[in-house]
Amino acid sequence: MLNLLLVLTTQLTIMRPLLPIPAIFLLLFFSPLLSLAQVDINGNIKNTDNEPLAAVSVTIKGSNRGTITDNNGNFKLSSQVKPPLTLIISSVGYESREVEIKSASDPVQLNLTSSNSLGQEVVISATRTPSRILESPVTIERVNAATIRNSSAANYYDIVGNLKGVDVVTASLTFKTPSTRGFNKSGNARFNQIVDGMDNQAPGLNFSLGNVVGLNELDVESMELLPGASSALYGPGGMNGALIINSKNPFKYPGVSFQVKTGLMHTDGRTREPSGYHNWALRWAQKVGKKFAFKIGGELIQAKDWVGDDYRNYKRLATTGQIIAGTRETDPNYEGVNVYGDETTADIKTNVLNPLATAAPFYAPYISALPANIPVSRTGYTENEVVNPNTVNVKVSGALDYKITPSLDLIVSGFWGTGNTVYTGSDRYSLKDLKMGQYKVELNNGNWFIRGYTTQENAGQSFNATVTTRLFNEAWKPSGGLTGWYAQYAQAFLNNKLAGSSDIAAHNAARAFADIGRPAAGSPEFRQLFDKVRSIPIVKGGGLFVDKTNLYNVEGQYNIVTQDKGFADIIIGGNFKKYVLNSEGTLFADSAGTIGIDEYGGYLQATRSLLNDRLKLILSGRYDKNQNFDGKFTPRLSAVIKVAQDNNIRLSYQNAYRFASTQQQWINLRVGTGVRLLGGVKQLQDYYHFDTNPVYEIDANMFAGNPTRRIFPKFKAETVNSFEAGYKGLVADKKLLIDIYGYYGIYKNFIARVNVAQSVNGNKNVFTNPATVQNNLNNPDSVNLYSVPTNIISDVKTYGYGISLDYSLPSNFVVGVTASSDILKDVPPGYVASFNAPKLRLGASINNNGFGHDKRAIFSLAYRWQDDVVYEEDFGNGLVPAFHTLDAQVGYKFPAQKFVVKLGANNLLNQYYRNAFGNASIGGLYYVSFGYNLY
Amino acid sequence: MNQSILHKSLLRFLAAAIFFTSIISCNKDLENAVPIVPPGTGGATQTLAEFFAADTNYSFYNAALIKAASFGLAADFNNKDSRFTVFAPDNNAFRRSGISSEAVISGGFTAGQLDTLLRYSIIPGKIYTAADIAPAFPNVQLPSNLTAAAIPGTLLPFNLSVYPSKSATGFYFNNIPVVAADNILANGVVHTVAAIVLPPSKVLAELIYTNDTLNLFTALILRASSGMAADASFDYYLKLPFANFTVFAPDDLAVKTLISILTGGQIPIPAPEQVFLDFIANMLPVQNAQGIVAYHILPSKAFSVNFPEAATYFPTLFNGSFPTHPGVQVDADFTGPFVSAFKVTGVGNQGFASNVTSKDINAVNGVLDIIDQVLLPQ
Repeated sequence: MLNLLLVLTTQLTIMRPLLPIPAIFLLLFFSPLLSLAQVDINGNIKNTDNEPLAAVSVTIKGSNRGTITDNNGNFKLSSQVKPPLTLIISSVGYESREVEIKSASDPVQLNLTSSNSLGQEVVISATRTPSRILESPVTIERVNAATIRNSSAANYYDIVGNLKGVDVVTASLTFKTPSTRGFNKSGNARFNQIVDGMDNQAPGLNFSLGNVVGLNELDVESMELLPGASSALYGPGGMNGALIINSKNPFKYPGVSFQVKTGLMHTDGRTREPSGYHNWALRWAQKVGKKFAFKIGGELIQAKDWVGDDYRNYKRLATTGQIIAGTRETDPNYEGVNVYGDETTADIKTNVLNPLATAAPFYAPYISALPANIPVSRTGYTENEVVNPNTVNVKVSGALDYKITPSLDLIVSGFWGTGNTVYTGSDRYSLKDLKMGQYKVELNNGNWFIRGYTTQENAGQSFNATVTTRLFNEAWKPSGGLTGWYAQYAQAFLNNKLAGSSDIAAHNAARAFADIGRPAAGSPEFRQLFDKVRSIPIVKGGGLFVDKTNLYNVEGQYNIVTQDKGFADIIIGGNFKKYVLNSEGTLFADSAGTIGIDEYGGYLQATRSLLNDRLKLILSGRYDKNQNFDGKFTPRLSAVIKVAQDNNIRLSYQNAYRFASTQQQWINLRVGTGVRLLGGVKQLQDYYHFDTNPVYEIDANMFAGNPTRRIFPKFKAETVNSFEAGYKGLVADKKLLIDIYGYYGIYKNFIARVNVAQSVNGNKNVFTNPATVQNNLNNPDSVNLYSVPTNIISDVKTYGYGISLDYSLPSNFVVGVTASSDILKDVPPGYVASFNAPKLRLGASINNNGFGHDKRAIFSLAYRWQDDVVYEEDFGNGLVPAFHTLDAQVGYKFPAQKFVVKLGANNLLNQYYRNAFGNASIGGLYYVSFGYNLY
Repeated sequence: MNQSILHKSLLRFLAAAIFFTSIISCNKDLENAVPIVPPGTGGATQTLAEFFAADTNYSFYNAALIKAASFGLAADFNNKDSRFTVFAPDNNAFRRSGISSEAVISGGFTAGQLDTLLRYSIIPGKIYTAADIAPAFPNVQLPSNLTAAAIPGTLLPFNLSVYPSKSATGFYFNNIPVVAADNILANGVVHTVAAIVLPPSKVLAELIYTNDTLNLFTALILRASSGMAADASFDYYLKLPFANFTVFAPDDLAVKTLISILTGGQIPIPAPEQVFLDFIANMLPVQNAQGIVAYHILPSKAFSVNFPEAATYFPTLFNGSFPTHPGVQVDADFTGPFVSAFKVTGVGNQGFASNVTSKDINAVNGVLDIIDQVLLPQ
């Protein structure tokens, strides 16, 4: 009795910081009652020196149920599954263990052996159930909280970019899009980002807002990257991969944490004056009693953004283009890549000078001797003159977790974010006061869950920089008319010619004349007019795009854990999704009202181990139906062959698909370059009379005066059949982790945009004269240009490989190298596939998460090189040269105070690079970070 | 070597390798916009100004340029962003035109006069080599650098036109032969002309109406115009500075001869001029006057040198009413590039050619040739 009291008091003392006294009584009273409904498993985890280990993950094999140990190494886990069962116990820096539980009444006592952490992680997303990463049936990479803690990246999203096979497209400081296996762009529709079970894609804008509204860094438990097709489990979209991010459960990770990063950017003053970088993050999670826990978090990022400063001259040929020589001073028709407003171009010869020659015949021979076409662009403004340099990102998130029973959680959570950032789509967009919220209600038992969530998007005051600046120019001085900008320009040009100027001198003098009174960038006059234009919706002749598109999704999953008893381990699940497109006619063809798109699907997965666990077969399948497409079944068959302990070969065949994105279905937007982006649904083609006023392909035949009519067949979902083989294993005394994969994919009904032209007046003759075709194509009064997504009938093939070696050295040093490659083949001429992946990427890293005195020092060094890429996007096409980056970090831990101080640098050498055509050039970012209670 | 030393060495090696790869291999600087080098003139480095200053054969011209410097042409000639086609008289041409020395230039003219003179012989903004002038009748009308006025309703100036031409007989600037062509310089081209080319200062109407030997032709024009709308008459067009005509104006004796014949000798040739004037103003049917005047005007500005050596028919304004009419036959005889004899024959003149007694009188809106016999269309 005395002993019991002693134990109780000890427990009370231990628990006091965590729970108020009444809660302990409740706990003591009700625990026995509750244990009737399920089994509680208790345990304590220590290291080999018998020191308790905190934050060790304890999960039940084959389910999603799990917990972590407290500061004393204790854990308690409620399970519906009665023993015998297997626990997977893992912690970074220790060898993970699997423990057979025969009876719940025996507490688990375990000492984990310190090890390099190579290959010891447990992943969930590969099969939607936990499994050791070494035994994953498909290629997977995991970034855990410890990696994030020890990373040099200023933003945890950047860490993904250092994984093999990953490309990150950086539209701006806070707009980064990771992709795998090609098709890189801002907002890659072939790559899913799923945060806490919610698809993170902005439903209208079609880009993932992971680092705009996603988790704050302190709330990230893990990021799991699935390169390659993942539709079989995650539904339409993840043809090329998925990034699955999970937040920290408030029960598992209570406490207050914060982190302050303060840094410096633009240190060399190349595009801006040196300016600060601020990233503050806070997370507070608290258990209230045994049944209830909550967490709230927030993050604020503020900086002066990187600048799109590619001022090279871009020549548009109808709808494609290339970089050519020329500057504003040396090419009258200059169109700078990141200069806006200069997309407006007109031929002053045919529009002004030729009519002038008719009116003044004495100048006719002189005018006639000038070049046949004198295209002149209006004077533009550079990106940093029109886009607010201040990038702000505010994220707020919260979750309530109520245990209806110890194993059944009701979770209500929400993420909300707002900010200013810059995005590259068909044009450069300044996303201003963009707001997006994701709200979820979830019932989660270890073996099943049902959740509903909605994504609420509001583009705020976002505007298209290209369109807005062009309209700004028109608002200041109209292009056309007898006293318009072009009339003034052309007359001044002729004036200067008649005074003896060379062509270019006359052009520059003419520009100076026509631009007299042009508002200087940043002047009050400029601001006032610009703000006026950008706040008028696109449909009403302004640059504002309205997008309040929402997504509603309900899904559920049930795991039938029968591994030891039945034929196989089975998971079934399904979802229903509804998009409500609402752009008030500024983006979609929805000026008459919102457009709904319904989509539903179901999946099933069976796992069976054979040959004494040497072979594991997993069969998955999924069926989906979108109202605009025929239903689609996608199977996945994978196998894991254990060749030796910790050495596995994986083989998989996956069929993945995606329905066209909402924009590819319903967009109706005339972009800055004069091309109308159309969705692929037939309603839009009918609206523009493709049936009665044919559209023609813009190709060599057209330029030869022999245009080919283009008829669009029914729009189909895009599918890929992907074969993949890989090996993951620990060798050399478990010090070397090798991961290799190779894949081959065949895309069918590949969706690509094709550019077509249509006579405004239904007169085919505008395309039949080779001498005038080019002019007509550039004349909006004569020809409509459309960019229409369509399926490429012939197969498009991709293949590639990836390899990584991680070697564990004494004193916690880990060195790693990676190489990866992705290649696209057989794209028919005339299609813009936008593959955009480099042929080769190389990476190298050295990390240490504890060395020196008491293992308090940390450091990491990450190097990445990628080959050049011919980058193709709606915004523009061009070569992105090879580049490399070096990120580094050194830090010091103060364990007693729970503080970590880090000194970090991204792009340490401050060598500017762009990873996509037309995007911001990225320089060095140097920061100091203070973290409290990071785990 | 034990394992930990091996590890340490390996680590150091890797660290060093990463470090050095990063430092040594730099990202290529992001490419900047590349300026387009404007098309040059073919490699010449000397400007027009430098050329005229250096070549002693053009010292008269240079003296004029310097004297007129305040008007800016010399500076323009020095500017590499300029383009000029200069029809420049060399010293011999000046002498041929009666200017015997540089002193005459600096002493005998005002800067403004010289500036006008120089600018009229320049085509601005473009380099026209001899090859650029198409050999078509009669010539190419191009603007000179001499601004006469503004064009109403526009921002544009009205520069006087000049008429370079090329034919089997030579390369001409107006009616003056080019004796040396295509001296291409950094900012222009120099063609040397045989004589000074003077700018016109009057329109055709003024030249004709004030010429004492053309009183009756003047009366014919006015009689013909009296039957026409005010803004579509001969009088109107001959005054219009933007027009281009070649007028073969019969002198008073020629007109008197015609009237004498028309009246069956009732008005004899020696009758006082007033009698002829009264006849034209009152008796001559307007239609006849219109027919006569129209048959003496070609609808383009052709200098004598623009006509071919072989006698050739050219349409006149008469063809406006009688499209199938053959026109007038013009016959220019050349000695070298110069016209030695210049004749024109009407269809109704029974093969008797009219001699041009005074040729190539340059007007703002055309060229005037005085002939000794009225041309008869039938």
